[in-house]
Formats: sequence, C-alpha cells, structure tokens
Amino acid sequence: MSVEQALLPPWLGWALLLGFSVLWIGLGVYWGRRNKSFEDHALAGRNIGLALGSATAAATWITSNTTMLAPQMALQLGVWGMLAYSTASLGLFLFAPMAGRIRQLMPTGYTSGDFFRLRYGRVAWGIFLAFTLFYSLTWLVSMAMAGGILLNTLSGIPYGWGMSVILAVCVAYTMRGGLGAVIGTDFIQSLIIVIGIVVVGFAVLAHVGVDEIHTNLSRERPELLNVLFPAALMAIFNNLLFGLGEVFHNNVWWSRAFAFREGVAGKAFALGGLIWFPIPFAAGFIALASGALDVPVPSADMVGPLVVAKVLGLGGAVGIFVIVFCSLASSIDSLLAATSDLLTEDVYRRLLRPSASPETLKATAQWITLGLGLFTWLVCLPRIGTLASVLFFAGPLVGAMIWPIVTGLYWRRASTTGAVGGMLLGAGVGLVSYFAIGFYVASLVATAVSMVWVLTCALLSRSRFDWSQLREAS
Amino acid sequence: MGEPAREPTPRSADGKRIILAGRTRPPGHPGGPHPRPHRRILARAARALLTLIGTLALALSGTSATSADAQGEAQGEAQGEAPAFTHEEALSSDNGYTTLEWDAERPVVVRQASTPAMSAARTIFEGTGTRLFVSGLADGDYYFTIADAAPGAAPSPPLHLAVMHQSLSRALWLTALGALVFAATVFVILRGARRER
Repeated sequence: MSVEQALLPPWLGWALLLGFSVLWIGLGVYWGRRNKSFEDHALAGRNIGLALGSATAAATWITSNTTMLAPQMALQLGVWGMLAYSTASLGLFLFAPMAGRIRQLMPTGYTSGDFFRLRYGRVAWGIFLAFTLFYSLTWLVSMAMAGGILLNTLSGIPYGWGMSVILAVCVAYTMRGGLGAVIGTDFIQSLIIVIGIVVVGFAVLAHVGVDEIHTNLSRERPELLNVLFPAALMAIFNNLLFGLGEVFHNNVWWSRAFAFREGVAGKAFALGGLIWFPIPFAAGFIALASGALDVPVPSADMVGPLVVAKVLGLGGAVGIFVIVFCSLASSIDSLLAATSDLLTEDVYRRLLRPSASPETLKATAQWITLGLGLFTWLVCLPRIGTLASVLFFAGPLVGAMIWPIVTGLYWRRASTTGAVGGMLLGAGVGLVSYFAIGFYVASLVATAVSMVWVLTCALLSRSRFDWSQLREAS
Repeated sequence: MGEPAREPTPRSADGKRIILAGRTRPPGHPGGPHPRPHRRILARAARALLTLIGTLALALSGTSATSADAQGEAQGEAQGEAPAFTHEEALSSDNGYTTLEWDAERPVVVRQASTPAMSAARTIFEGTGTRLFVSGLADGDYYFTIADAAPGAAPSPPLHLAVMHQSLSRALWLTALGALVFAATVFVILRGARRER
C-alpha cells in the first residue's frame, strides 16, 4: 500500500473543517453573550459545575499529542511507553487536592502569576512569568504547526491553510466567548474524542486478537515487550514529572481552579484524570496492533491514523480527522485563553494599568488573544520544524517549578530564596543535563535539584508565611 | 502533554551524525524534530524570519521553497534509477528504533535480515513510499535491502543498522531517583491536604 497518500479526499477534509469551524464559532458567540466583565470572560463567572469542569480538565489534557503521540510512544517504547504516557493523568489527580487549596487560599485570585507574586515576591514572579510564557508560547506554536501538518497529512489540505483555519477558528471563539466558550466547546470535544477512541479500540480488537498482536510483537518487535527496556524505563518518571510540572504551574489549570464553583475543583480534576487515564492505553494499543494488521508505518507519529484507516476505511479516516481536529481545538483554545488572561492580569493590570476597569480588562484580554493568534500564525507560517523542538527545553523549566509551588501552597516555612533558587538551579542543571546526557533525564534532574534546594531552604528558614496575604489577589 | 520521547539522532557507526534527506516529522510531537544546540536553533529561526515574507505565498499554497526544491530534486534523481536508501553510512540506534528512507517513485520491496548475506531475510515493506519506521529491535546487527518490486529486480547493497541499547544500570538508577522525587511530591501534597481538612 502507499503509505504517504492522504487518507481523505481534500474536499471532504474541507467540508469537515468548515462544518466544525462554524459550530465552534457559533457556540463561542452564543456563550459569549453573557460576558460583561473580565471576571466573566476570564473565569466564566467562577460558576463552572462538575460536569463541565471534569470534561474541560480531560479535554484540555487530550491534545493532538495524546491522540498522535500516545500511539507513537507505544510503537517506540512498547508497553512501558504506554504506561509512561498515561502517567500524565497523575498531574490531574494530584492537582485535584491542590485546586481545592488554591480556591481556599485565593478565593478571588485570577492567575497562577498572582500566587507567585503574593507568595514569593516580584523576583520569583518574574522568573515564573519568563518560564511559563516560554512554555505556553512554544506549546501554542507547536500545536498550531502540528494542526497544519496533521490536516495536510490526513486530507491533503495545504499546510498553510489548515494551520491558518484552525488557529483563526480558535482565536475567534476564544475572543468572543472567553473561558466559558472554551469550557463549553471542551465538553463537546471531549465527548467526541472519548467516544471516537473507544470505537476505534473495539474496531481494532474486532479485526485482530490480543494473542495475534502478542505473537507478532514477540517475533518482530521483541523489545517493545521487554520489561527492562532502558529507554522506556527512563521515560517513565521523566514524562511523569514533566506532566506534573506542566499542570502544577500553568495558568491553563489555575484558571480552571478559579473558575470552578466552590467545592467542585477537586472532584472535577480527579474525574478529568480518570477520563483521561485510559486514553493513552487505547491509543497505544492501536499502535501495537500495526504489525499484526500489516500496516507499514512511514513515521511513528502517523501510526494511529494509518491503523484506524486500515481498520475502519473511509469512516475511520473521517473519525480520526474529527478526533484530531477536536484535540487540537480543545488545547489551542485553552492555551489562548489562559495565556491572554495571564498577560492581561499579570502584565497589563499589575504593571501597566492598575486602575483599569473590568470592561477595559475584558477588551484587553480579547485583543491579547488576537495578538497571540497573529504571533503564532506568523511563527508557524514558514513551517520551521526546529522551532517546535524548542518546546523540549521547557521540560526542565516546568520541572523546576514543581517544588516551589507545592511547598508554597502547603508550607508556611517555604521561602522566597528556596523558590527563586529552586527554579533557577533546577532549570539550569536540568538544561545542562539535557545537552550533556539526553532529553530523557532533563525534567527528572531539574525536579530533583529544585527539590533538594527548596527543602534545604525550608529547613533553614525562620520566616513563616501569613496565608492571609494570598487573599489580596483581587 | 508529557515530554516527548524522540528518535535518536541517526549516527554512523563511528558516531558521526547523519543528515537524513527529506526528513519531515510533525513538529510539536515528542518524536518530532530532534533537539538542536541552542545557537543553531536561534540561527535557523533568524534565517527563517528573514525569509518569512518571501515564503508567505508559498506557505499558503501548501508548500515551501525549500521543500519544493528538495522534492523536485529527489524526484529528478529518482527518475529511471534503481531505488536506493538515502543514508550514506551505516546506522546506529540506542533505543531500538529508526527510520529507513529511500528515493523511489515506483513500488519497492524492503527486506530485513540479521546477516549481510541477507540469509533468512523477511519482507518488511512492499508498496509505494519513501520511508519506513522500524522499532522494537533488540541489541544486535540488522541489514536492510531495497529493490524495485518488479520481478527479478536486483536489491541494493545491504544497509547496516547496529542496535546497542542504553545502559540498563543507569536507567534503573534514574528510575529509582524518579520514584523517590515523585513519592516525596505525593507525600507533601497528600499530607498537606489531610492537614487542611
């Protein structure tokens, strides 16, 4: 078979793209009608319930990486690879108790930047902003690039057009509807993704049995079943800690903790983690079946769509196109919303216009969303693959923030020296290890170094933080 | 989410980096482009920004000057020639996976064996395409040939892939360190949550 042809005819790809674009923008306009102030726009009025909350937690975490990378990791690193990817759900599980704590300590907070500024001061806040903006912008760029490339691969839609349309659609409904629209569309997108992946999993099982898959792997790819596969072993905790760092620090998750109704946050994140947990296994299983199904794979990241197309034909190709489109949209919109809120609250309001009215802040957030979209579009347009690889540098940066955040939320003795030193030392040593040893140790080393520094400073610290200072976030 | 696992940078048997022609992996995926030294990335970014305006029209038409040129050259070279791997030297892998790439427009057959004589070889790909991802290989030597799918076509000289997995003891030590850091993190969070209640 030809392995490099598009799975769908371009006209069908365009029709699907148009249909879903109209749907998401229409819903964004509809949900945006109720937004009057910055709080409505940025935090959906702090009134998100359990169903929407759980769905948005799961959907935001289901990125195109989940649907495309989980099969890739299974094909590269075998059974351990699937487990390594699924450990990202631990980020949501562990953020569940933290979200309750955040709501309790900062009932009127807006962003994760508020926490760093009030808990550790402006130096730590500045470092946090630099780290998180680097992470968020590179993630945004990589997602938009992946969108253009995936739509091109799946349906033949030119890269520039696919990337532009998906970005424009997300910018449009996020600008108009704010976090409410993001969470609402996430709910629908998560249903589509979960149902789609379950259907695909059963379809694969109907075509080939587990015994057959195991026999094929044992004969042709034995290392994928090896319990002592070195690279896969190293990937487990490195991926896990990268995932924890991503969730613990990023405003995508903090904004949801602030937006959820009182008492909902903990349950919503835990349920979101439960919904997300099996998806890497289902997606990874699809990849492991590729050999038994005799599906040649030109590049590891395309194994999922190729197997689905083989098993389900045109219907499967349509399904994977929709799943990928929903995965991309649910993550790009969340990143746009959370990053624009962070820039509005932490930069515009705190540094430039402290007296800005709620209406001005809302308008500013919308303009910043548009600006982020334009910036991302310009960076993505030339399709420079090496720019996306910059995202990998974010592993040590986010890993180094885990311990300053966790101890800052629970320990009164956690100090500014510990937080600043932990972030700088952890990120620095982590980056050095990235180049000296490899990517598979960078997040782990960064987290370990940061942990040792933060713990040492906390043990030696004589200061005791007054929790009431965090209530000044409004 | 999650830090991407990436393919090892292809290297020759003596450890030199091999530049693969026409490598197009979706960026943004762990498995995407290989990390480059910081300066190289910045230099490439600067060069790309300078050519941004010129590439705008081409990007919207779904291609780029670089990829269009490369495709044209590759197609020209492939016309009328026997299929051949684009790798100029032997490959090595420390993760058990790599991507085989070749120039061909017609259907081809790729075969794999554990000896250079290709005894007991098995077909791992048959059809049109220019790449094949192979994974799950244990420590050892592997050889690949490519040939036109037409009956009687002569295969290419075997391409050697040496697989030597990373140190298991280092992997286990790092796993233990990861488990310790993770356990400490969980302990602080759960203890804090319990005290809060």
